[in-house]
Amino acid sequence: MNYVQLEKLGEGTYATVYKGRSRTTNEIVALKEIHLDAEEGTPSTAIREISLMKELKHVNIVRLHDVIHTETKLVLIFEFCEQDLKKYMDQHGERGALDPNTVRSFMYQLLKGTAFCHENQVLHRDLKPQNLLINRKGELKLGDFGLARAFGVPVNTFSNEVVTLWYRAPDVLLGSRTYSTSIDVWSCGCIFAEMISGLPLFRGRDNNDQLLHIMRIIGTPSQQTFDKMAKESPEIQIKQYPRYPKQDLRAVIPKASPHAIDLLERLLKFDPTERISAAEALSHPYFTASAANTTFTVGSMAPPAFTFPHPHGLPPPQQQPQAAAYSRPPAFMTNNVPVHPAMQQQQAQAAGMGAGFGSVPMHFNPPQFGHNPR
Amino acid sequence: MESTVPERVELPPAFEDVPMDDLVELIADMLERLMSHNDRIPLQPESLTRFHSRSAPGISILDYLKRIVRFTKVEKACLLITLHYIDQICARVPLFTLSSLTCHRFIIAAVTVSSKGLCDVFCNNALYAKVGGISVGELNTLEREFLRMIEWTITCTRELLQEYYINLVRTHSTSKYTIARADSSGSSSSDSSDLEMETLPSRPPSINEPSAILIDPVPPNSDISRRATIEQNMAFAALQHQNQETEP
Repeated sequence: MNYVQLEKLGEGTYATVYKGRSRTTNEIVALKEIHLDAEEGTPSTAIREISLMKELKHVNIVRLHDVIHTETKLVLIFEFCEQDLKKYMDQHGERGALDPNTVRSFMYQLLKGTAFCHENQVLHRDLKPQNLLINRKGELKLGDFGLARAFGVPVNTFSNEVVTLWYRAPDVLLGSRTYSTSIDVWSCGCIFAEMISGLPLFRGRDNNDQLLHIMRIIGTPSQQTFDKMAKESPEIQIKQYPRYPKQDLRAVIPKASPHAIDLLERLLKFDPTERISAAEALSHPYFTASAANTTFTVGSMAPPAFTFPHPHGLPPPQQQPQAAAYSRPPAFMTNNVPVHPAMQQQQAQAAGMGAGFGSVPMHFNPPQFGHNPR
Repeated sequence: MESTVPERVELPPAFEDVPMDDLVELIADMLERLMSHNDRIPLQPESLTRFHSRSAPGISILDYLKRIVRFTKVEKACLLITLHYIDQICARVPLFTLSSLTCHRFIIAAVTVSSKGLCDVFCNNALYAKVGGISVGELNTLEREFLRMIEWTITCTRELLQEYYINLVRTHSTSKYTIARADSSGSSSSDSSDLEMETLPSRPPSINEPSAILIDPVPPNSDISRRATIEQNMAFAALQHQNQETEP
């Protein structure tokens, strides 16, 4: 193998992730090692992940560099990222809550990566903080495409068992099998609220409880909305629900700015057809009305410049994971001069770019997970 | 409708709406033509692949496809995309030819990969192997070889699949199929099918031109060949090239 296997980074149900180093370029990578089962052959999750990620080349999507496929194992070689968003929030947030500038930068990148997937006819179907990876440049990248699916080729079987419960859209919770890109948008909304407050927004125990959690905050939809959704997706099951009034999101998430509240409301629409698209969300005033947002300065990352799509400043040195292991960040990174990616890589290597987390299928806290039915 | 020709079968404009039996027959017909052409190419040791059998399997490709449909509930898009995979692999691996020695193994590997990669409901390899008449160990190897050859590129677009469908109907060996005009059907139609319908000069299904992927000794009708997909043209070129090499 062209890669030296270094320490283990994490273990999931079907794969183990190691840190690795390329023998030829010395580049640090994440090695996702998948064991092959004799009855199953190449796992469908791996077929999806490889076939989709191979095509999705974007700064906000974890890059798949290479695949090694032998009789006994399958190794995916990914771009290396220090940690996932969940861990980032635990380490850098104040009780998990990130400062407004970091939230805005991450949210922008999350929507950018998501919009790119949708543009390329890919549904991620499992967006959650554990599947969003952050590198030390403050870049956020979508990872773990094991549940993802191309929607360009029309096939009839759409699983309802998708997306980790807490980030699952209400239409999916109601049993929709005709969902589309709007389910990823819902997850983005949940992640947005979680970055601001530090806590997952809707923490249900099961499918129905999750729906009730959602309705308690955004209100039970009108009968008219239910009827409309049932007409558009005849397979959904609508039961009788308590009539919860819509709560004021400003009270639920007091830290959110007015623009943030407005964006959140558009992301978290019960009716999927009313949800804003990821591409539209990128031009929401929350990102574009800069003056209103830059007044926050609470122990933040360097404020993201507005030269999107590379808005990310460096986190201040004391916030870097294992800061002692690093030399000072390369000088070019402290200003916002665009640098050729290849050069960035070399310089980052020269700076001893290092430890952390690859694309690990983290099996974390939420009680239920999406799985492909066999 | 056009009931003057009794054997004529009218198919819906969109491939999603075509009855499975007809789709299977269309695909089998195309594969048969491809195999009978390629069987004329002498087998070279260097073109032997894992997909080769010692002798042609005793089951026709039509029956093989029917068996796969019956036992694995494969989706139409997954069957149709098999043709795209053939074009892709022929373009990437010029030595590979779909012949009566390779077709069956190729098909079961293709259906396994497309179902697992594109659908949310699929079977495990043990079942695909059983249906395909090979051991699961062999299917796993074929699956790996298939993914390597196609470089893991297993998706395409709806429009491309629709184009394959139209070409299948147009080139069917007995010309018994015709596609209903988009407006005469209430089913979901597509722009590409409409377009294809309109640009076809001679609607009568008596067109007897060979499929774009088949080599025709006479220069093919340029109008027809221009409508072939890029993949088909590449496969065509690869085949021609190979033909020159193998038939000195």
